[in-house]
Amino acid sequence: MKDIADQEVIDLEDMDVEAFNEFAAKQGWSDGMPLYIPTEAKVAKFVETVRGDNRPYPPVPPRQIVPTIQALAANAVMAGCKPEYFPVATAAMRGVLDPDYNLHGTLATTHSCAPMVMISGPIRHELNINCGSNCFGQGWQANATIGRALGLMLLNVAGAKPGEMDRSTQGNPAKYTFCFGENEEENPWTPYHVQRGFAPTDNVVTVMSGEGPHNLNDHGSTTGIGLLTTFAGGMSNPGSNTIYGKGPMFVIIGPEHAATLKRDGFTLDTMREELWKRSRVHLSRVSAENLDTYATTGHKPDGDWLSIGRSPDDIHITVAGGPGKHSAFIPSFGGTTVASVRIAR
Amino acid sequence: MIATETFKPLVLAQAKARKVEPRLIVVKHPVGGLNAEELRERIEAATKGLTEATT
Amino acid sequence: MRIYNPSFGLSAASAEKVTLKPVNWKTDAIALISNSKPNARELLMGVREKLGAHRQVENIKFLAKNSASQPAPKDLLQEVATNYKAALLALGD
Repeated sequence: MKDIADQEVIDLEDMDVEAFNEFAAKQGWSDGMPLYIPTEAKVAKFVETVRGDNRPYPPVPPRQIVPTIQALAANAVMAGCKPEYFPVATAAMRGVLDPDYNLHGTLATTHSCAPMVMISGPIRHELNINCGSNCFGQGWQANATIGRALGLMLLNVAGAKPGEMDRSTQGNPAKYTFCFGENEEENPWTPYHVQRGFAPTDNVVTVMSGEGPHNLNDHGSTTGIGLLTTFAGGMSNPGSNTIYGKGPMFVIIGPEHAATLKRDGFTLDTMREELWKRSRVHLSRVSAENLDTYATTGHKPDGDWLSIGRSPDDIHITVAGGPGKHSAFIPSFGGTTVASVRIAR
Repeated sequence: MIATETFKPLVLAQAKARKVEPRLIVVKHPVGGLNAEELRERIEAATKGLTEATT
Repeated sequence: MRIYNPSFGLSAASAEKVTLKPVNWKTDAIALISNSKPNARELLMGVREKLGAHRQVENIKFLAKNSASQPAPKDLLQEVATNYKAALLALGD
């Protein structure tokens, strides 16, 4: 008889959800939170939702196996997704499989990075994806379970088992789930997916291997330039991977901050330029040993400053969240890219 | 390949996925963050491991 | 009950087992390749210096990829495959 690991469909004696969770934990399938049972009937319902996307999947690193759509669906079922969420989760999976996303590096690293999943387009409303208050937090089934589904796919299909293939020194709560929607309705500029060349009516998932959101609190500034001063100060962080100057990052502007910046005439390009100029790290904040390491890997200071990206284009900007004077900075793993994928249904 | 004992399981898991059998020289963890004096022991261990593995 | 296995997948067709060619570590050209993890270069250079007691070291060359987080670029792999019989990699840390 084949090992359980080699069977696509596994015959089990009937069991309740508690017993299934014990079984799943023994197989190494669990992220530690309760799982739903991926029965044949449930998986079939999920598979039905992605009939519009018949492209094969490439081998998934680091484990280098080619997943079946049923295996991906089983993870989405276990995560607690509704069937209609599954095309979003599979689009996110395709995003992390972009070769430039560097899935192998982002999963095996000691860095704390987790896949940030941002959803754009009308599907945000269809699926009740939270784009407003507490959008990075708890309370919405779609946000919670779509991000979790991707995390379980990376655990079970990619093989990112903590302590074995996933070598993160401390991890990150975002590894459980990190999924939110753009607040396109309160974005005074261009929605992110449209910035990337998609139509406003397209439904798009954007993924980046990032740290958790770093808060950018500014209740006092009454001008756009004041806000950007605060943002740049929060971004110039010698302890984030952006210090290597080699990867993308997101600035997610809260709607009230966005309104002030728009009122003062800032565009996406002028904000990027301003943040690029001001978010550099002064050499006095970097150890001599680190400076030496950065220099030998091609990241040399410009005068007395280290840049936190290759160019202003590394700074990706959009709007999310609700009322309040907060924005967020999300630095990436570094050796990765931002991947945006149209949701096929 | 030189790996630390802590990261040996990761190297072996990745090698298995790629169907390769790397010849491993395992030294104490960590290597990063050691000063020159501390690193000397790792250099000795790695050289000894390499010599033993190749003769 | 019957469930789908969430870790099931098919082996990538091209992944045939790789075999190693014989190497004479006393004489052959060797590449020391750093993945740019901190101290990887220093460790490899220390090993190179010590090997000097047993063999010539002029054909032991130091190479590096410039990011620990990125795969080795194709030209680096090509250079190693073309010019060296063996490679010592550091560092899994």
